[in-house]
Amino acid sequence: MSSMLARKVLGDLRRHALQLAVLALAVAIGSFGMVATLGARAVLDREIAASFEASLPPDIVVTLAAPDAQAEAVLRGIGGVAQVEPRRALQARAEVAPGDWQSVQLFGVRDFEHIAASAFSRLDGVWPPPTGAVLIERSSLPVAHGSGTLHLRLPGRGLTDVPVAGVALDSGQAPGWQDNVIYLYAGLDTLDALAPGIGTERLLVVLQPAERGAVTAKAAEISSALSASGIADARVTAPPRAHPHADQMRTILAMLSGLAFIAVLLASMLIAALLATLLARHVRQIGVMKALGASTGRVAGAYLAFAGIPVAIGTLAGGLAGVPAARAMVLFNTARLNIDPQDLSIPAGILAASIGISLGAALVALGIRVALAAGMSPRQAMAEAPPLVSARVARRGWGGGDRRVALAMRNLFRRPGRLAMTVTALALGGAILMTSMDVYDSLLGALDQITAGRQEDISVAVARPRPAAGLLDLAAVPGASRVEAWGGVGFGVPAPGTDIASGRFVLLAPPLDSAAARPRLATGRWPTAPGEVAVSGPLQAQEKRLALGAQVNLVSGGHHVPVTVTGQVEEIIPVAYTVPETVAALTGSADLAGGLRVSAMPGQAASVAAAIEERAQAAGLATTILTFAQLRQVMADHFTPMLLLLLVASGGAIAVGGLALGSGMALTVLERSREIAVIRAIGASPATIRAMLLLEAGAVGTVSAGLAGALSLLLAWILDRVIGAIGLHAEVPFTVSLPALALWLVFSVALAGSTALIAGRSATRPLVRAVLQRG
Amino acid sequence: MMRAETSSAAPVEAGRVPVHSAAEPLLVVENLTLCYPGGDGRPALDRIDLTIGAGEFSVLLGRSGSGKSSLLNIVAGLDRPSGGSVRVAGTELSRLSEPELARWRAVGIGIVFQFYQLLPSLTVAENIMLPMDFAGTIARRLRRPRALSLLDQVGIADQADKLPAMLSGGQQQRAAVARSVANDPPLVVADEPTGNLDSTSAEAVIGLLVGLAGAGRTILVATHDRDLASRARRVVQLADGRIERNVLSTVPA
Repeated sequence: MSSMLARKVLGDLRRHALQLAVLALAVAIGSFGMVATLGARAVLDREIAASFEASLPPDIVVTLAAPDAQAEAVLRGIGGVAQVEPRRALQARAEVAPGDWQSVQLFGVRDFEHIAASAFSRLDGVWPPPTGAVLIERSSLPVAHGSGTLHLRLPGRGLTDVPVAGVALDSGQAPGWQDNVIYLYAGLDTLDALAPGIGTERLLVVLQPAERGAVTAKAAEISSALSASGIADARVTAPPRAHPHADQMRTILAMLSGLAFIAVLLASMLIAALLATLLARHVRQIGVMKALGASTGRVAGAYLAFAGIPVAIGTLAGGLAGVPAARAMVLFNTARLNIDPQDLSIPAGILAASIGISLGAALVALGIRVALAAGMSPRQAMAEAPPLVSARVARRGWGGGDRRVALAMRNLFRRPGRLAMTVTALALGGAILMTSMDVYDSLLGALDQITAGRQEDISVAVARPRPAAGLLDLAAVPGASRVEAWGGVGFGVPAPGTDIASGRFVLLAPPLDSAAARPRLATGRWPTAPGEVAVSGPLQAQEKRLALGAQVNLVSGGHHVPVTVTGQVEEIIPVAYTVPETVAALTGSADLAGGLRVSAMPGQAASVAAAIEERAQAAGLATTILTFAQLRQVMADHFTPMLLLLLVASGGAIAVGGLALGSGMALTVLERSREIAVIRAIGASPATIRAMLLLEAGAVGTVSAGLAGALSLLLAWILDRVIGAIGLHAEVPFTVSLPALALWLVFSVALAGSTALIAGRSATRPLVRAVLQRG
Repeated sequence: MMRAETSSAAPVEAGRVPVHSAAEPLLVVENLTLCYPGGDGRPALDRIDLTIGAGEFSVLLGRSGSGKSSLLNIVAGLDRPSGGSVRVAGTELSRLSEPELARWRAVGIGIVFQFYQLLPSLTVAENIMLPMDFAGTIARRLRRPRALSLLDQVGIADQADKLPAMLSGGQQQRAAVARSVANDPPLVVADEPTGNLDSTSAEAVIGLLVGLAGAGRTILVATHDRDLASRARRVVQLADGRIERNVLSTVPA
């Protein structure tokens, strides 16, 4: 570049410092978005996996009726077994506020200093907890309304106040606040004192890494070894090596990837709009330079340097700012997932790729604009004026004969490409906002769909099937209008030729005369005969052998029952339904029930639930009692991380859309400054000019609102399918949020109005003479 | 020829006798000065005094930089003076706010620009009607008929529904003249109206302006075209921001 051209570039950088700063900001937004979202995705992906591995998830779980040292010794003697961790578990209830009872899972640990599986760590307080005290898991603190002393009702005992000695972190559990559970940890001596002889004994087995490729075979070997040792009542399962909320995490990661793409797209559109504004001021200069002998390449090089400097600065600044933003996103999401990330550094490759993509997109936008400007002939460039409207557009009689309206409307279409880009950029922002609200309504709609027609107000579940008559007595309380005892049993699907199941699921059987509405069927039919089951989507996702039409064996407590999957029900929890005879076959008795469904008199659900609670605890039964409202809230809480992510994204997109509109209006005023001066000269007041610009901006805002609505329908439909497929494994009904549409319409018009007013001020402030005299 | 007093102390040109105007003054400029910020310190207009009677066809004559366009811009309300006053038909322009000035420009003055400045998004007829929309003094149903009538008077009624880009320069300037009288203002100013036209078109436009003056409208033209100046009733010659000569001819233009 010649020294004079370099001086011109430096002078232009000074003269256009403000516009270049805005350009750098636009570039920074794209770079920021890319680094923040892709960086967060990479870190979350890594830390979720690392956290789960750090929790030492067991490969095999052996469930016993009582502590059995022999069983433990047998397991330790099997080749390929790296660790065996005994763990006792029992269910209790905690009164966190007067009349407010929440479920408790209390785990008994033998040796807090050497936890070999399902590990958890100290966050605060005393470690290990002294005898008689417990640790509370961090994510359960909101459920328990803080730490301190817990008012527990343990099976077989009355109310007991148990002090909380500290706070633990157990990242291998689903967050307590999401599932409405209080996780507690205590020494075995504490459990012996609080609930002697009660609880489930488990031996958690961690295999050598080399054995993990054949977990089912090793589980079968363990089962055989235990049987051979005379331990007949052991139940051996091989749980999937995945966090309980792995699906939710995958959904969030997928959304982050999508948002990264949108960030780049929006930023590129904004950059193109701003560059058009910037270069419009220089078109005549380009013509003059070329008339003086500058080649296209020389001119292009000068303007690449002119705009390339803020592009480079913006990319770097945005990328640097994106790093802490990525960290903040990671911390936000890990907090919701109850994970403590150990390493927040973004992988260098991801950082480089993010910055490279955003820089590349910006340079492409810059290159195209500069090429267009530099490629003009001298005459064309020096005579550059806003393009004329087509005759077809000119014949449109907007405004019913008012030339001011006709002028404003026709001016909109003088640059159809820019109009399309401005409308689209603004529409994308609104689309993401409306999509967020549509998706949230859709998710709540999924809940409504699932619970439609549900007449019962309270669900009571017991840990082990109990005689139905005894359970029905629990609900013989004032205010209960109808009670049904439902069959229910935990089951697994054993691998072929073995008794080893990968998980434990719930099989429910409503009584034949049940008044409760059946869950909706997504496909297939409701089971009507013994040996038929209908399963939910989430259950099918976890246990692929339960596909529609499959014939499999279910196993529970040593009982094997062949079943055929006849249908898929629309539920967002992993559950299966059948007829009472199938449950009876699995439990070995026709008189057992797994829980109750209770209908209460209007307004009495909470008091009926509390009364049942008292009776259950007095009877020494481990129960989970949830009102319908509580159950619905637990489900809705699972959607919160996704919704918050979408809302944050929509905020960024709206900012970009607003900048695009603002720059579009600024360019409009800039290009038509002489026309506007002439209009003022022939009698238009500043208010009239502002009104005309407001009309233009308002038209853009209104059209973009319509486009945003249409785009949001598409995006919401896609997200509903994605969340339904990955996250819920259930159909998510497509829902449109009318309040979201109204909100965006108002906002876009307000945004258009404010940008028009700013542009109008810019248009009417200079003296008419000064504008007309400009070259 | 009778000698006439003039409103300035400029010397009388031999052969042309300044004549005192008996008509009511439409335009009164007193002690007008204009300094551009960042200039070399010399005023663009230096204590200008000028009176133009109603119905006069007057020309501001001078080279580039003489101040004629600057004076015209202030009279047209397109610029604000640094000092002095300008009264048009009794209205003191310096006291008007920007909205009031815009309103005044809609009804009190018509402007013809050198480069026509027709709005490219409107048809020729719509360009004429646009000032009527701003002023609002002519009933809506009468605006198009009036626009067509004005275009007929300037000889381009058949171009009414075309876009300006389809017209020649001369036709566009005629349309601009028609636009300048859309709201029937008492004063029409024109800044180099023939500067961008060929001789035939220029002659036609001059004829239009002379015709407007003959119909009783006050016309003030800034030009360096002496041929145009010869058709004027009053010639005000400027140099370096000052009036050198101000001559009113007794011979009708």
